[in-house]
Amino acid sequence: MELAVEHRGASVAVVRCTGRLDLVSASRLRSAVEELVEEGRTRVVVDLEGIGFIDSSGLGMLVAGLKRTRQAGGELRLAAAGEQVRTVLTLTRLERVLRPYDTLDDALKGL
Amino acid sequence: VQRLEARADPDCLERMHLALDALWEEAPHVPGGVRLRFATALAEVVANVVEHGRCPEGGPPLLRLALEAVDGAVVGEVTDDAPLRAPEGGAMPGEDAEGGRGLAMANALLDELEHAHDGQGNRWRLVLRLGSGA
Repeated sequence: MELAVEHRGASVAVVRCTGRLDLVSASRLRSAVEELVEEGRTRVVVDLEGIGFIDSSGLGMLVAGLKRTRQAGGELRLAAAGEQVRTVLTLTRLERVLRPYDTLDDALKGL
Repeated sequence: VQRLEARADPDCLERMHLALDALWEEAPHVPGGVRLRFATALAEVVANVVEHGRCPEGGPPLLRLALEAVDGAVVGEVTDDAPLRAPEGGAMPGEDAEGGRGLAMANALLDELEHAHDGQGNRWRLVLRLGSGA
């Protein structure tokens, strides 16, 4: 998985992921979110446009990231999830807390 | 039929995805929704072996996969040589849980998921019918 972090002002960041978000790569996303929260960037959008596959480890990391940002008074949102990601979010009933926004712009709106 | 034999370390997940790609190439009639569900379930079963399996010497066990598109279904067999019985999935955890979803997901995605341990190792059988996941 490739990962790129983009700062949007003092408290917002976008994390773009490409590849597979799974057992192998999930901890890198966890570290990226942790680093952002420590910098005070507690409102985070994870852009999943380039993610073709997520597993339960990846989902667990997104839940951890959501909890971490909320503890710091922020929020974590998902953008541009593909079919496989949406399928597992529905299956695990996580879409209520990790609602997939259609586009990055939608996710950033009002964040 | 696609077969794979590998040490159950994290790198074997990449090889599992390549074996699946090869399976879909030899079975172009399998619908996209079925591919997606089968791949997701198989990855959870394999990740379970990678995370929990130990061979008698203490390292990762030997993982064997056999994947086949038969008449009307995709069938997978996953075995390891771990002396201990692998954990099995329960109910889907709540939304706060950071783990414990893997085998619950596999169970929910497949038509059949059987697990047996015979003292020599674990054996999982995965079946997803082509009419599923449309």
